[in-house]
Amino acid sequence: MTRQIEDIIRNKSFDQLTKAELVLIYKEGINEAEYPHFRTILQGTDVVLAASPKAKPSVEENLMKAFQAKHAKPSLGSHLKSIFTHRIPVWQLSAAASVLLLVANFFLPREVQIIHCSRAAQASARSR
Amino acid sequence: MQFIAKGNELAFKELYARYGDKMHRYFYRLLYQDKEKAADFTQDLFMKIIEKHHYFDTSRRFSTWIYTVAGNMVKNEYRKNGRATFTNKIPDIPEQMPYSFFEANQDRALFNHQLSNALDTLGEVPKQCFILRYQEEKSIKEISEILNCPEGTVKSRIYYTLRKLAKQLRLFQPIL
Repeated sequence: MTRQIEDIIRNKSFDQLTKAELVLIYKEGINEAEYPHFRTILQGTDVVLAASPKAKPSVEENLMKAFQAKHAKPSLGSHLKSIFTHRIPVWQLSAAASVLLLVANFFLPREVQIIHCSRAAQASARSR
Repeated sequence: MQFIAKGNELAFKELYARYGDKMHRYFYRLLYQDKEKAADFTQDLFMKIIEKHHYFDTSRRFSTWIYTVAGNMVKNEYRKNGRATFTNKIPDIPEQMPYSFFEANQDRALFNHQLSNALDTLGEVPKQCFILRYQEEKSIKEISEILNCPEGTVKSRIYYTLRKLAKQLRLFQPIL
């Protein structure tokens, strides 16, 4: 049903319809007996739905507070505080420590070997 | 939405001014005229806009998107509670009611009350179609986008809902 037809039904009784309007109404499958029922419902719907209440002012207040909190810029103090109060899971801490130990064990002896090798090479070069 | 994402308070205020009451009325009607629930749902909807504005599909119109999100929230609520708990039965009106009962404006007031209750008894999707059409004054095309269904389906749903309501409330016809 188009807005045009709805407006015709709202504003005119069946006997007030022009020939062209009658054609439109019949095309919608509404007969003379049904027409007043549709009219009553459409008119009543306008009144009933217009009576729906508005939102409470507290809803807007709460939303504005939430919006401000979401977009508030953090101060330098709060940044520093967050660094010192930052919580890390124990598994992450232990995993990081283990990785550090592994890296230290793996790399340190090799560096010593490299130093040894380079010194030996220098000594042989000198002897030549 | 871009301004809101950047934290522009005025933009959010404007958005709320445009859609706050509309969405509240929409929830109020779809959630069986429960003011508190409508207020909670309106707040939740706008909280989603604050927190999850990146979900907004920029290829769609904002008004279509917001009604789709609201509709999904209502659908979830229906599923959570089960439709049966919400359904209000229309109070029976005796067939042989004396005409004096409808004197003055009581007839119109009673009819409006019955119509309001009858709207509550509609199924989930027909009710959404009906409210979007007659309360939110959306076009058939917009409704089909919001509900993600063909325009023909929307048209027939609205037509059959009108017919159903007309049949349910035909008792009032000789009086009004």
